[in-house]
Amino acid sequence: MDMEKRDSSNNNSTLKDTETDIMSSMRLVPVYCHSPEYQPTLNISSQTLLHSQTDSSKNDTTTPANASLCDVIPTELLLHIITLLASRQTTLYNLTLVSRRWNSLATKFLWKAPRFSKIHQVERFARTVESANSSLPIVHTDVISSTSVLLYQSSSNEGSSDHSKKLETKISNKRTTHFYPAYVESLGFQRLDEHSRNSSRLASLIDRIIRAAAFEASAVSLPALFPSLPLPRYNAQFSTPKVIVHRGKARHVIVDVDERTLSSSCMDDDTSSASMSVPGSPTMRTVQTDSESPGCSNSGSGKNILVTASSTALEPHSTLSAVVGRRRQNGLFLTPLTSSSSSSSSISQSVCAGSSSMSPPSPSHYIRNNLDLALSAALTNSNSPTGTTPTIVTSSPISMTGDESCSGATGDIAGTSSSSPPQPTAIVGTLGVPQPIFMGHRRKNNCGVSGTALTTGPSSSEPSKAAGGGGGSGSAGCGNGAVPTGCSSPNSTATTTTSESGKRFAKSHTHLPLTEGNHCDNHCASAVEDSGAETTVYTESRSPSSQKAVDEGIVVDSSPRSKSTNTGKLVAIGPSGKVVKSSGARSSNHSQLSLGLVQQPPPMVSVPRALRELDLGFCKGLSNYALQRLASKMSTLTALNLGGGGRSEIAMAKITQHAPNLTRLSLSWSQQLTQFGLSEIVQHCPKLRVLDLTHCTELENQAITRVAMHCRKLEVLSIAYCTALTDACVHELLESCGRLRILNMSGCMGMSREVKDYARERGIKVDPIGYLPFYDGADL
Amino acid sequence: MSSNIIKLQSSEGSILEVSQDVIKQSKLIKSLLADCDGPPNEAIPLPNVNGPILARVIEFCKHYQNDPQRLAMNSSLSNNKSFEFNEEYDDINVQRTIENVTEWDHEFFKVDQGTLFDLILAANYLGIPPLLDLACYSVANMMKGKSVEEIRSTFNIKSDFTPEEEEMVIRDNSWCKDL
Repeated sequence: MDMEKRDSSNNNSTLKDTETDIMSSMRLVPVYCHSPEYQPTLNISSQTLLHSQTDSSKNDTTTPANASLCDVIPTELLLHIITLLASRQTTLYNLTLVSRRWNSLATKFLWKAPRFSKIHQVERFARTVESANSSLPIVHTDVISSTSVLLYQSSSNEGSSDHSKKLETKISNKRTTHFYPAYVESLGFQRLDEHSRNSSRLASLIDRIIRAAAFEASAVSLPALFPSLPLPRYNAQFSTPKVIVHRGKARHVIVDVDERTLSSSCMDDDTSSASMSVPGSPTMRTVQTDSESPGCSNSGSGKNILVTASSTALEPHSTLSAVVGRRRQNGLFLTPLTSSSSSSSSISQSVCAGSSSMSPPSPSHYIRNNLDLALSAALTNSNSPTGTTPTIVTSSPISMTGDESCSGATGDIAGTSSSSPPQPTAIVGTLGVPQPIFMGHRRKNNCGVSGTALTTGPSSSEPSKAAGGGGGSGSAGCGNGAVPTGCSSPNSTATTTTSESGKRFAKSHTHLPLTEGNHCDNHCASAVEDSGAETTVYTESRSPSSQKAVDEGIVVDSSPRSKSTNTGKLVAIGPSGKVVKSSGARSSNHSQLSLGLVQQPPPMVSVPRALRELDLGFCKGLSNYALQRLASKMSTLTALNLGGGGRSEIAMAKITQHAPNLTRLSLSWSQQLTQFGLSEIVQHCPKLRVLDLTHCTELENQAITRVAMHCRKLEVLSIAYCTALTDACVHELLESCGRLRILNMSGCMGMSREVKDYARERGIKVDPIGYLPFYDGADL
Repeated sequence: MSSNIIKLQSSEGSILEVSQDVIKQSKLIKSLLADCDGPPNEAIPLPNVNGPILARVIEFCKHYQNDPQRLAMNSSLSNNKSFEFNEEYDDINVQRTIENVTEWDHEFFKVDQGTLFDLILAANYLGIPPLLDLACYSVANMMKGKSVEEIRSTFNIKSDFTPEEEEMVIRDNSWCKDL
C-alpha cells in the first residue's frame, strides 16, 4: 500500500488554516469539533466528490517522497499533538527549535503558562522579557483591542466607518507580530522550593517581569498570577503603584492591589511616544480607547489614547488617576494626580500637552492634597496641518490652604501661544477644586478642547465664566470647577462658545468623585448648587455597572448613545445650554473607571433635561449636610443610590421628600436606618419599583410593613442581611405588593426556609444570585 | 438485519460493509445517517480515506465499542451503557482517553508513521475523537524526551531557520531550559 498517497482534497485544505489565524486564537479547540463543517461537503453529491477525489489522488502521487510526513498534518492537528505533549512533558523547548512551523506552534505553549522550578529560571525569564520588550513590537491584547474597536463602532457615526475599518485592520495586523509576553497567561511558581518561593528575590523578579511584560491579559487576577506567593508579602511589594513606562512605548501596567486585578493598557503609536508616570497608589485603571473625529480632515492626528481616571472609595489614600492622551502631532498628556495621605496642602497640577514640535512637556506635578485628588486634563488639538501648532501647556499650581478657601481656583491660562493665529489652540486645564476630575477630549474639526475643571478658553468670550473659572473665589470657584467649559474654535473667534460647546465639545467629561474629604463636599455641593442656577445636570442613561461598591461621585451620563454596554458613569454638568455631554465607557470589570471617548453626535444642548439618576453609592466624601442642601435640586430624580456612605436618615428623608418620582432607590448598607427613617422615606415614594435595603441591620418587621404599605408597585426588593427581619414581614409583602417579582432575603437569619418556598410558589424569584437591584433593576 | 449494515466507499472505490452501531462512533457518519430516512442503499463515499486505513478505522471502532475495559470505565462515569460520544467531548475526555491506553491500543498504533498520520487524518475527517486522541498521543510519544535533532530525523523535518532566527529562538526561550 502506498502510504504516501494521500488525499488533499478540499477537506484537508480547509483544515489548513493559516497558522497566524490559529496562533491568534489562543484557544485550543479539539479538532473534531470542526468535523460538522465537512458534512455538507459530503452531502452535496457523491458524484462530484468522486471526481475530485480521483483528481486529488492523482495529484498526490506527485508529492515528493522525501517530504516530511508531518507536513501532511494540518496545523490544527499538529497543535493538538503538541497539546497532548505539553501535558506530559515539562518543556517544549526542543520543539521550538525544530522548524519554523513547529516553533510558531510550540512557542505559544512555552510562554502560555511558564512554570518555574528554579529561581534561576525566573531570573532568566525576567531578563528575556525585558529584552523582548525592547526589541519586539507590541501586540495588543485581544481584550484591549476589542474594546477599542467596540468603542469605536458604538460611537462612530457614518463618517467614521472608514476609520474604524482601518483601525481594525491595524489591530489585526498587529496580532500577527510576536511578542512573547503577550502569550503569558499565568506564571507558576509552585515548583520552586519553599525557600526561594518565599524569598524577596522572587518578589523582585516578579516585579521585574510584570514591569517588563506588561501582561497584556486584560485582567489577570493576582492570585492566579501568583498562586503561591504569599499575599501579604505581595502586597508589601506592590503597595506602590506600578506604572510602567517603556522606552518609547507607552505601556504600563497597573497593579491594583485592592481589587486584585491587574489591568494593563498598552498604548503605542507610530510616531509619538507617550510616557507617563504616575505615582500614587493602586486602583488605577487605564483603558485605551481611540478617538478620532469622524469628519475630521486632519492628517496626522492619529490616535488618542486617553484614559481614565478613577478614584476609589475603598481606600482614601490610594487614589490615583491618570489621563493619558496622545496623538501624533500633539502629544497630550497626562494628568497624574494622587492624593497623598500626608497633610501637604499644596496642590499642583499640570497638564502637559506637547506637540511634536514643541518643547518637551513640562514636568508633571502631582497634586498633593490632603483632601482629595483632583485632576484635570485638557486635550487639545489644532487643525494645523503642519503639526506645528503650539500647544499650550498649562500648569497652574493651586494651593489649598484651607477647607474654606478654595483659593485654588486660580485657573489661569498659563500660556497661550500660537504660531498660527487663526488656529490657536486653547487649552487649559486648571483645577479649581480638588474634587473634580474632568476628562476632556477633543471633538470635531480638530479643535476639540476639552474643558476641564476650570477650563476657560483663551478668548474672552465669556468673561463671566472666565472670571468664575479663573479668579473665582471660594466656593464660586468650586462651582465653576464643576462646570467644564471648553472653548476653542478653529478660528478663535471664541464668541460662539456657547453654541459650539454643544456642537463640538461633546466630549467633555466631568467627573466628580466625591471621595474622602470633609471639606470638599461643601464645595461640591455649592458647585452643583451654583451651577444649578444656570446649569442642568443631564442624565440620560447609565448602564448598570457590575460593581457598585465603588461608585463615586455624582455620576451621570448624558449621552444618549452611551447605553452601550460599556457605559460608565460620568457626569456632565454644565451651564444650561452650554454644555457638555459626556459619555462614558467603562470596561466591564472595572468598577470605577470613567472614561469617555465615544464619538457622538452633538447633544441637544438647548433642551435642558433634568437629572434623573444619581448614584452616590459608597460615596463617603459627600457629607450628609451637603446632600441635604442638594435635596431640592433632586426633584426630577427617578433613581437614587444612597447605599453605603453613611447617609443619615434625615438626609435620605429629605431627598426622597423632594423626589416623588423615584422608581429605584438604594439605601443599602445603611445600618443606621431605622423603622422611622424608612417609613418617612417610603411614604414619599409611592412609585418605587426597586428598593434595595441590603444590610440595613436595624430594620425590623414593622419597617418592611411600612414599605409594603406605601410601595405597592414594588417589583424588586432586597432585604438581604437584614438580620432582624422574620417571616412575618415577607407575608406582609407578598400580600401587599402584588407585582413583586424578585425578592432577595438571603442572609436573613430570622427567616425560615418555608417562607422562601412560599414566596417561590407565588412566582417570585427568591435570592437571585448576583442581582444588584439598583443597577440591574434599571431595565424594568 | 440488513438494514443495520451500511456500505462505505473508500477513496479507491473499494466498498466495506460495517454495522451501523459500529460506525456511528464517527460523528460524520452519524450525522449523515441522521439526515437520511433509514439506511442508505448506496455506499457512502469517503474520498479522504483509503481502503486500508478505512479498514483499520473500522477495526478500531469495533474494538472500541466492545472494549470491556473502556466500557467499564465509561459505565462507571455515566449511566449510558452504550458508549456514545456526546458533543462535549472535552479536554477532560481527552485526558481520560489517553490515561487509559490499553494494551490493545498500543498494539494497534504500532504502525509506521505514514499509517499513523493517515489514521489521524481519517479520524479527524470522520470525527472519531478517541481514535484521534490516541493517534495524536502516539505521535506525541514519539516526540517526547527527544532532542531537536532526534525529532527532526524522526519526522524527517528540515530546519528552515536561518542561523539568526535560530539564535533568537534560543535566546528567547532558553529560560525554560532546565539547568
